[in-house]
Amino acid sequence: MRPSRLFSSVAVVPALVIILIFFLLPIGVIIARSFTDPEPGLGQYAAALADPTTLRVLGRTFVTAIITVVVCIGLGYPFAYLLTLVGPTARTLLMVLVLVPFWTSLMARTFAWISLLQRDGPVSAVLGFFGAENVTLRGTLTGVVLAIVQILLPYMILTLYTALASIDRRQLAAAQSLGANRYKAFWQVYLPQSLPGLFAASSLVFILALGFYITPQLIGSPKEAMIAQVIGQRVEKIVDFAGAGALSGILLLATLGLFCVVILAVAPLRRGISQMVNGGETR
Amino acid sequence: MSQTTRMMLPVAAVAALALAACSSGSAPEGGDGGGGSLVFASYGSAYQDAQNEAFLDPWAAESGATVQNDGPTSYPKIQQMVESGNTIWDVVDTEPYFPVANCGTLVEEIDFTNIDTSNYPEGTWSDCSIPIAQYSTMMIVNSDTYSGSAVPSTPADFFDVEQFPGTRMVPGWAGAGALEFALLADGVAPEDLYPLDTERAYAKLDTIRDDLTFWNTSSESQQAMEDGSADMWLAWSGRGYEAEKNGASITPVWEDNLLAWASLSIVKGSKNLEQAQSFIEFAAQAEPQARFAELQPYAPADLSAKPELDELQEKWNVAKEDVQSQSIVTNVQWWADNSADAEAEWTAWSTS
Repeated sequence: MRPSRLFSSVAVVPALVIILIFFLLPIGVIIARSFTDPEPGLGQYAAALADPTTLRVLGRTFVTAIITVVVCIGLGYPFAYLLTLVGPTARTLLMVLVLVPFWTSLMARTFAWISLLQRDGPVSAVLGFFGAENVTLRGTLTGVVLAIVQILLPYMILTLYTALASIDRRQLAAAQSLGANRYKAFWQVYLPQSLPGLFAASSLVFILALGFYITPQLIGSPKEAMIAQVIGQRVEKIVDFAGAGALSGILLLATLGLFCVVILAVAPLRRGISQMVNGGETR
Repeated sequence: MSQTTRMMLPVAAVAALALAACSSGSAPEGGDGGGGSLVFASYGSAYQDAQNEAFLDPWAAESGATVQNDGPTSYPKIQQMVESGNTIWDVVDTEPYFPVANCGTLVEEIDFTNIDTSNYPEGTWSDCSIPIAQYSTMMIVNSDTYSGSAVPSTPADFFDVEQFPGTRMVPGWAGAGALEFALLADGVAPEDLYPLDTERAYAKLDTIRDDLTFWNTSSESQQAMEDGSADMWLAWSGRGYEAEKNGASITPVWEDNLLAWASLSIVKGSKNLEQAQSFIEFAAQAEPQARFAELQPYAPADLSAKPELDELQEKWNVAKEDVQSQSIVTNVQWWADNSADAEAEWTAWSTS
């Protein structure tokens, strides 16, 4: 092992210790409890999965996260793409637009959304101006998704931008010089190379969205409740650590499972792209 | 290409946030001026300040003990303290059902030798708890929305969306009164309320489901009264008082108000048991309770207490005789026995 290698192995230890003590250990305790309380076994998991409420809320959590990801891609991809096109000054300005909300507390932004979306609030007034009378978005899925998207969009843009910036734009010019029009060059040369970055950004946003608690709690009604709220309710109102632990375990497992799927899906994609770019199969 | 996607910036930011969140809770210090010490946990803000002024400060002056405050009250925290054998809190302010449900397991039994319960409303104390103040979970009406002759004035009106269209706001969990209120509005007599016919209560609540919104913290309900962002509320009298003081245009409806009370108990394994008992005996008296009622929009639990109230405080005072005659006392024993099932049922209903 070279000295620099050795150094980096040692350097990782403090971070590992912190993660171990403050993250893995407490999670381990909570999950362990879900298997032992009130009696050893899978009883808590069986009960949670047999409960239609759990399944309904879990399903809704995933649907909400998926909608969030789709909207974030729709808004974030063009924005990140634009960032790679403009000059340094404009890029700095656009970056500020992304980073200032990113650095603003989640609570502050959630409360701002409450006042924007409430009955007779500004959003309702604007919609009223365009003919939609008395629309209150607070307490609706649209309102919840809007707020979550606004909070998570910077993660999408920043992650996507680093990926897009590493794509060599001269390939687009090359594709066009070989007869592709601009759209074809984008679809067949640029977009495929951005897909791994898009997957990384999407999974980051998706996983963060899965655990949202404060925002749907304050902006949504119970009809939009996500799994974290049900877990919180379990602990705070019923003091049922084992049941809450089982729900957390299910969420963790589902998230990890999905993460594996994403990683497995990205690997062949990467191979395919490098093949394509290196002169493999093209039309 | 195939360069690993860099996403270090957001990840680093998240890590920094996580570290910042890892500050530990406060731990009491031992050692004092001979009168012992006491750790008191309650719900914070002006409420806990007033408790200090009315109860803790005078008791500390009398007993020579030092008092430390902590909070907010959290049931999982109490359970963790007792399970780990490291009880940090001595006296705690909780919802009334909690000390009944956990008497002897999470909270200590109280010695009632020096406590006079004869002036408390029936059902407001238990082997493990005393009431220090009363409030009501009650119907409150937006007087901007409803004026003239068509003003909702009964629980039944709360459920009458034909005659009184508008948004209703109720507490977002089972134990806060919505079930009782629905049954009373549906014609159940107060004496037949328990055991709660939850099926009937949900059927009644379903009739206004599309017009319902929920509050999870009482400050949310107060905010909604001040904003006028709902048309009727099932909310706490104290919050009604605070909202009207801040300019909300609202009217109290006292019929079938659900009496609730701030409840003190001693955490199991308290390291200052003697001081805790002494403090409980002090707080159970009429005089400090009257003082508390003057500071906060709550009424004394000891009905012999005579606080000096201004006009608005008097308007929202639940200790008045004509209010008490319309009050319904929550059956804490039923809630102690059934809260877990009831909350699960509520979650199933409200999230669907």
